[in-house]
Amino acid sequence: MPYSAEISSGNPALFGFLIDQSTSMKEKMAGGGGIKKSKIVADYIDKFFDGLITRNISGERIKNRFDIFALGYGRDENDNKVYSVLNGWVMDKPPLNLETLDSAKQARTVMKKVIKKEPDGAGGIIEKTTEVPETVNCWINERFAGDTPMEAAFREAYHIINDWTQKHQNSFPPILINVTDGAHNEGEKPEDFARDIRNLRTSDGEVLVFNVYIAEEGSNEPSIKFPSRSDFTSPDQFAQKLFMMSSNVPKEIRDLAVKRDKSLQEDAVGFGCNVDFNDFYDFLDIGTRPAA
Amino acid sequence: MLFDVIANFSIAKESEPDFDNNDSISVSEEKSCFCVSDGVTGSFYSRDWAILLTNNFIENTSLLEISDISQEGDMKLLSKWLNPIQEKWHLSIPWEKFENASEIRKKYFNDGGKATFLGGKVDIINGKKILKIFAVGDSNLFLVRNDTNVLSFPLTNSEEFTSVPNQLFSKERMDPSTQKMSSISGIVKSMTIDIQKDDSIIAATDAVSRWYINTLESDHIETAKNLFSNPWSELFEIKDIKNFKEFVYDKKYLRLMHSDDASLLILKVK
Repeated sequence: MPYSAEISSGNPALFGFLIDQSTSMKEKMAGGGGIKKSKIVADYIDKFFDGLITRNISGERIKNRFDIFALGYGRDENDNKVYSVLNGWVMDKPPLNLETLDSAKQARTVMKKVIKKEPDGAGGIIEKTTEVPETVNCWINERFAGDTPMEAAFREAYHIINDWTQKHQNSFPPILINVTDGAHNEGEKPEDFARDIRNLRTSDGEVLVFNVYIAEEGSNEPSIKFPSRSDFTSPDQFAQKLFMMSSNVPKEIRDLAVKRDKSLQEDAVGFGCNVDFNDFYDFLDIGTRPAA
Repeated sequence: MLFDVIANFSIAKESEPDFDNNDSISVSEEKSCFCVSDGVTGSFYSRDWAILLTNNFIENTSLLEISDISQEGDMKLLSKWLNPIQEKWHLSIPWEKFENASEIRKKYFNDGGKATFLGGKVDIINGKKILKIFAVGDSNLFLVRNDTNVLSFPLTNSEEFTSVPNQLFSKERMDPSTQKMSSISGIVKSMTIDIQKDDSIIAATDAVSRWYINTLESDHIETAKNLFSNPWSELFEIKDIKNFKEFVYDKKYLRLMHSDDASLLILKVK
């Protein structure tokens, strides 16, 4: 039975993220309360990493049950088109285990809005919104610059995952999640490398490639996640291409989604199309279920 | 001494180091009591919590007087037993190492450790041997007499195993159903049963227990009985920790057992 390998320190699983950091990521995300796409993506992935490490804390140690990498594509301060966006990791090194990831965290204090109940002075209660400081752990370097060299990002991911799968044949297959807000550079064929990645495998199954295409504030397109392989079509050629680049969601992950009261069709594809803020969170929550 | 310990094995899940085993077994032939506990993976210092629970039970088996925690008296008994252990757990944590944690981690630390628990004691009352047992969650006990399984406790069928079993907490928390602070999720189950010389008592955490019940439920068991492939016969064949590891890993490869830490205690009533 594929996608059932035990995830353990001896046989860790790999999560990889490709993050579109092109200039357009500075725009606001649909349903995101006026927050930039680049920030929402970085915040989500930071939160995912912190939760993942936390769930693997054992006493004073951290169990190295997962390996992690995250690549940005756009343009960094050194004019690189593809680069590490993960604190503590450089691209020519193997992915980080959880202990190393934890040691690379940067703690930041952010102000969080909370609703407090207070006496209204007349025997009743009023709700007041106030801000309280909160510590969050961060790893992802948020940025937005340059165009969208998606092919180069998939090519780099191919090399990383190919190397990793050769060394971890007994592991749960890697999951690669690509987050983008639109068209890749003209003439590029990221689908070729996405296919090559999907053809990589461990003894437990093929590598899974999930793509999420996030929508900008004001978008009138419907937000769709995990569409059916047989039903989905989009007039947007890039959406259609990302759909084709995405793996089917295996039964084992669909079963995990059901436990979260989220049922997926049998031929569901790991693709989110024009997703708004809520669906973005939902999509990644399901896509990363094997880590829960 | 009212029983002999025939087997007492506990192992971490395959490809995890032994020190990551969150199960704990304690047994005392002298005091005729025993217990197993399964610290919940992903809860804070759950291994330490499970070890504290089992060690404490051997010293103080008053938990066995509890039958229904919806009764105020029984809830008080539970608190009286648990609170000193919770205090020990709290004092054992190097909290200073976790200061300035993120909100996600603070919530996790504040949730504390969680563990299932099964404890029992063999006694003689009016000349009759009895077994008193107490359980929270899916660590299970089986009583085998004359080559027949005569008791499965507290769970009796495979559908009762869930991903979130009832647990004992190392820190009190608000129970959303009652809006009261509680150290337990779900209910406790307890019972007293007559036992006889040569009865076998098997106590196990959920992986072995679930396999045992699944095997009992499977259709082939009757025909296979004479081939010593009923669950207790297989367990009685396990002589050492190496055997136990082979048994657990084999069952896992055959997809007959969930991948988990695994513990087995077998006692023979004298």
